[in-house]
Amino acid sequence: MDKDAKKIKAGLAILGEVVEIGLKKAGQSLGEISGREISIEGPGLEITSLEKFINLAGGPDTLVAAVYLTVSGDFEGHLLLLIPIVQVPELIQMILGESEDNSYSLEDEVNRSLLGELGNIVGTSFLNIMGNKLEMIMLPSIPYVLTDFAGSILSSLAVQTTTVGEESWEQILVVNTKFIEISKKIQGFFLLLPQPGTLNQFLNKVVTKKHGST
Amino acid sequence: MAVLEQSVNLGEVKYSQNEDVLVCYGLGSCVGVVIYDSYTKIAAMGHVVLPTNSKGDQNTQATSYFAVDKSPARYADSGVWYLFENLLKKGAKKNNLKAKIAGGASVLAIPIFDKGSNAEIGQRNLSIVKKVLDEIKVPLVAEDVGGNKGRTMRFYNEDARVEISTVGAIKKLL
Repeated sequence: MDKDAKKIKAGLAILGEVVEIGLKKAGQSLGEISGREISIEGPGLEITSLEKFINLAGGPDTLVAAVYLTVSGDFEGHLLLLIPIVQVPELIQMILGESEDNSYSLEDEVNRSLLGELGNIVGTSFLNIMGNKLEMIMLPSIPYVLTDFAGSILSSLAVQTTTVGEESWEQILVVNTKFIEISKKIQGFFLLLPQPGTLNQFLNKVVTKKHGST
Repeated sequence: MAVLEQSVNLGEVKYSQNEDVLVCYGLGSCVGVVIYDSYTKIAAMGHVVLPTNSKGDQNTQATSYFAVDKSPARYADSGVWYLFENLLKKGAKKNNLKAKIAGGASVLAIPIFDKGSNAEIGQRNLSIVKKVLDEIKVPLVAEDVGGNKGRTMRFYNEDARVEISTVGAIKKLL
């Protein structure tokens, strides 16, 4: 294995550990605002195929609400929180409590901002932990809430983060996690994708910070 | 015979020579391209993902390389050629061929974010698809493209109709 490949592998290992800690913290934050117990499941940092990626949130035809944030700073990438649309009313109820006035629909601006805020809190707490552990700056953008087919969102994101080269077609580096409310009623998908072209540089930085200059 | 719904996944091409329905689920910046011959009832749908072959191959004609590739419609340029040539091989008549397309939306191209060149992938996919259709002289008879919403595209070979589902809107017929 050449030096670069070794460095990338070492960087990914460190990143994997930090991601795990970050996810725990994000889960706690979500638990705090919802007053529920949230468990985190899933493989965490993994390299997946495009085909599997498109099917992550229940298949390409699944209707989802998504909170999308871009990340800038020492790490460039995309954060995505996906919640099947059928679960959105329950999620809103969970946080706001039951209300006769609330339609629980995402047509309602209040509910949209609530969902955006949710993505914001999860994303920011995750990025803060990662940034602290790696001693790097990771800045989330403001959240953007959209509803669409899971496939439309995931394929568009994959295309944006896939360089056109053959080698990256089959492989997408993703933090793939499910947030599950303990009563198993609500399930969300939390994804982090690095922007290619910046990843190797980032992993190099990760290794250098951890082990000093190489 | 029962009508089958064949799912055309990213980069794939599927054919219908009977009542089978061809469907591209959840198109975002991708483009669903259907080319069909209403007389011989041979139709093909491709799920185009990216505008051009990164290898910089200037020759847009499909070569034998794409025939063995499992995602022949991955690129708009070679993908449309692939559809065209394989329809003719299957017995479709060149002068009968017509095309309908859908997709090419900018689902994540959000105005508040500063976007790189990838933001217009949907538009670039569309322009290459149209350019190749023009080259092979297959008339584009209907389209539902652009915007910022994803689409599911179904093609019914029985009468060559295309049905478009979009989140939050009623179904559209092409």
